[in-house]
Amino acid sequence: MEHQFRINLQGIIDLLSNNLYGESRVFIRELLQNGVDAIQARSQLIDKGADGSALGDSLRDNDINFGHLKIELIPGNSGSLPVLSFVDDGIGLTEEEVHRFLATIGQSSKTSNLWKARENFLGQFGIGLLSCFMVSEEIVVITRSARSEDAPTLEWKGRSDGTYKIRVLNYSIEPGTQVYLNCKPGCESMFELDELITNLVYYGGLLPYKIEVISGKKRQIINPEGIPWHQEFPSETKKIEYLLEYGKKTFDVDFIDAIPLRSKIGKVDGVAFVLPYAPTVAQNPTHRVYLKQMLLSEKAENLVPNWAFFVKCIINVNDLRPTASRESFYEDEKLQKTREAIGDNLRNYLFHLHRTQPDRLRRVIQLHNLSIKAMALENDDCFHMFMDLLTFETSKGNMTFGEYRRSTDQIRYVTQLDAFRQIAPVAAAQQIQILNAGYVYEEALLEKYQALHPDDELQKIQPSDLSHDLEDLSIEEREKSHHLAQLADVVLQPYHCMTQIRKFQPDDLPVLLTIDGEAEFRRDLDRSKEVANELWSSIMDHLSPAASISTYAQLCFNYRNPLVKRLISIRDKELLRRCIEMLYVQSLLLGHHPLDAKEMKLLNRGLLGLIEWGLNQIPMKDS
Amino acid sequence: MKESVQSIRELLKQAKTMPHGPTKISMLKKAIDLSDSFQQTRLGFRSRRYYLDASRFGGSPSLRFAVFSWCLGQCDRDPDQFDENDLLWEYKWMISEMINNAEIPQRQLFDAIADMKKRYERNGLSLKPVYKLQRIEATDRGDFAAAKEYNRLWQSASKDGMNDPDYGDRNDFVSYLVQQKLYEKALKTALPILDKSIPMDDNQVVPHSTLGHIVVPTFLLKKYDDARRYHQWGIRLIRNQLDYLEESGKHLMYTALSKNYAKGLQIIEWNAILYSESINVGSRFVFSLGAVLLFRLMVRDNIEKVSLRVSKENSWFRPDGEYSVPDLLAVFEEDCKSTADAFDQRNGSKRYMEQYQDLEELASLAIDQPISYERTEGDPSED
Repeated sequence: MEHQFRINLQGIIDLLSNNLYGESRVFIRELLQNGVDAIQARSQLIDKGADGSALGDSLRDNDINFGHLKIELIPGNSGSLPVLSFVDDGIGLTEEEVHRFLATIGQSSKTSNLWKARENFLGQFGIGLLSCFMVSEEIVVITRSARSEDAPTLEWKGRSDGTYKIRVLNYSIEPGTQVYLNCKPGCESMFELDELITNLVYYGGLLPYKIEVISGKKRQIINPEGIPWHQEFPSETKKIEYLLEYGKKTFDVDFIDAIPLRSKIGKVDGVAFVLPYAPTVAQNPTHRVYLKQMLLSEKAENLVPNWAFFVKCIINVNDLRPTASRESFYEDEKLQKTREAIGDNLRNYLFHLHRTQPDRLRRVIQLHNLSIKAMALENDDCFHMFMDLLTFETSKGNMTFGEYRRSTDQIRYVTQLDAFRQIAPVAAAQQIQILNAGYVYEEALLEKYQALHPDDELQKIQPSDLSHDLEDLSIEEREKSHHLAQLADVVLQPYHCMTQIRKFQPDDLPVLLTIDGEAEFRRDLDRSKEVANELWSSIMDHLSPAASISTYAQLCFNYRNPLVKRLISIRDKELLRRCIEMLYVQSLLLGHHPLDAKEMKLLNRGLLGLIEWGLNQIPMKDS
Repeated sequence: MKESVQSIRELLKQAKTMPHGPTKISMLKKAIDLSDSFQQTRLGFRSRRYYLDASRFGGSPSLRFAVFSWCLGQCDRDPDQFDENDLLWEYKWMISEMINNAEIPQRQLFDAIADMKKRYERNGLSLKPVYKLQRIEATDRGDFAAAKEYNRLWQSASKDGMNDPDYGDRNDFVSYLVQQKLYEKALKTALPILDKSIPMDDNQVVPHSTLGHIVVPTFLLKKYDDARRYHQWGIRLIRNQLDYLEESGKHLMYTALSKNYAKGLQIIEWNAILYSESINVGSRFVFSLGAVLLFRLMVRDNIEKVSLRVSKENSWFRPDGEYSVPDLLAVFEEDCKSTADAFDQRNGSKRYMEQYQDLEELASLAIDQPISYERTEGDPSED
């Protein structure tokens, strides 16, 4: 036996307001959407006639001037709440359509065969009118169909308890639909004129039909200018100025440039504003997107390529399918191609700057280095164009890759930020140029450079490579410091660390710790073994690299450093041991190397030992 | 400290938005190190979970073992905070990687499989994935009787959320049949994948891997047109992609058998860097088999010298780009034999060396079957 669900309309309205519609003002969007759809349906009726019949011709003469939306705010009298009327001169509804569309949840007039060309309509989900119950207990719809001259005027009254009435009125109105909403207690703000205008501009500011707000004697067109980027301008400069002003008005941000966007696929156009600040990679760029000129979302995510996080866009889309959440579009081939076309627009803008305004391009690249790096990695043309202009950190300070490349015969780089920080001052003092490729995309960019320029010498260096270039000690110095080197080896051997004493600048750096790939891997294994169970610990034993110099970290003492010189003069072995241990742990911490349990113990023991040693230097006054 | 925790979170968030690749892997490694530096165990666990996910294709297998074992250790130490269930999917990858890593002794491999089984059991999960791995392991060392028994268990076990998708199971089963030289049956099993009648989501394994499994068997069954079609389709899928060394090796073998030497050399060029750097020894072995067959047949056809464009990372790189074919053959033979030896020693069998020896018989089946690079009609990759 079959049963039918019972629907609790109030429950559904609550559900809609709490979930599908994030905020109650969306009823404005839904009403605008219905109005626009009705006007477009009437246009189609005139162009073709319903289902291609000859009806269109007979209607055309009477229908030359339509396409307006009028919204009137009628203030409440003596304590009663205000009423909002929403009038369109679109296609209107017949009685059969009223029953079918206004009283059936989930039914949309746009999904029926009635007009076939479904893609012309904004609405897709058939539940728009319900959103009006969020602000009104009762919805009154008065409508007259444009399909026949003798169509009756109908009144539909629906209540939020799920009941509705229909009657034929004994007067005739112009074809179209009027919706009346009585303000629900608690929703007064939605019925205030300023708020109403703000919301109408927000959702419908780009709509192609005139939207007029009336309140008493006050009348205002909320979309007098249409789509800003469609307007005619005497010059490109004027256009950009105007768009930047529009961007400022919309987002309250002083953008540094405006890039017109256009894609045939998806029938997309709009404008991308170049941000005056550099967002982080993690900040997912969001954009304002209109669907057929009606605001769809402030937070649309998947329309603009991911790498383009240097722009904020306003885009109008005509031929892409939004998802039910209306925050993004269905990931299909069309969307992918649209995204590529938008990507091309942005790239072309940068190419254009490169040709015409290189200084301006440099500013954009400086500000949006990260975004441009992502783009260069993804696209070969961009790579050729921008690689030399991208800024990298080097041991000689920040410079562009081109400047760096020209200043050295061999491009040497490290791929870890911490390693760079450790060795950069030493390298700089030694006149060795090293480039830091430790930030996002940089290593991959250099690898791409090498692949495209096989004749150029690029060398990925390990931190310890640097120690080969450091100055050796003289025989006398070696003899003098031998006991420090010998003790340091003994003290640090259990930590897989070898030591040496060399001379390097800067003088104020006492030690240089370098941990190369294999040594780092061994440290990773050791850390895992501390936590792993017996089985996995034994598995890792088989993965440990065979003990060799490459699995050892290297701690290089700086003979030029005053502290090291003092250490060399210390003969107290215990004190010297503590100092060596502490210098080792400190260099690990400075390099952001996680300490393992043994090293942690060393840190604690060393600190306490030094405190104790310090205290022992003070004679006890009373016993 | 708060700032440091924030910076780890920021790093994880950044990494999450990035496509898989070396940059993402190094960012996640950084997140692991920072979490450990600041003793943030929970963040350390999270960073490692992301790392395992991101490094499946392209990360260092040894480091993956270390990362996985740390996570598993935390689950054992503090099961209230860290749920081992989170790791059971990854455990399948770990075992699979252990099978392909001759450095892991057989004892440890078996113990790990037993440990995986124990954890699946205590979490109320079907043992189907365990049996499949056992079948793969037994096949790998040539113990087909054991493999048959595991296959029986695999077939009778129920499916649950930990089970691989149907197309993945089918692909692995095709490989199992091919290794037993049941070629006709393998082709029949592969058919629903090839005609796309089995539901497949967007993945990087099937049919890429399946086409690799069947291209040589199809040739050996003398279905030359089909073999050519599978080769062209397969190579299009894996070309310019990382981590298809094993599949490339199988296509390389096909180009040798069909005497499309130029195409074979192209495959060598495409994969030279990957071959020199890959730590997946199992895949390297398959590729070296293909290369040995190619160069052996070229030598027999009196081709003494070839030009190759490969990067200097390869130990056999020559700056003038001119290579002696017998020298190349010697390089790959040496690689192939030493790998076979390492695996056979680990497995206590002769299966790998037998595969190397089988090349001689295969070479006798080579026949000219030129590839036309126009798209053949009905090529499913057109869809």
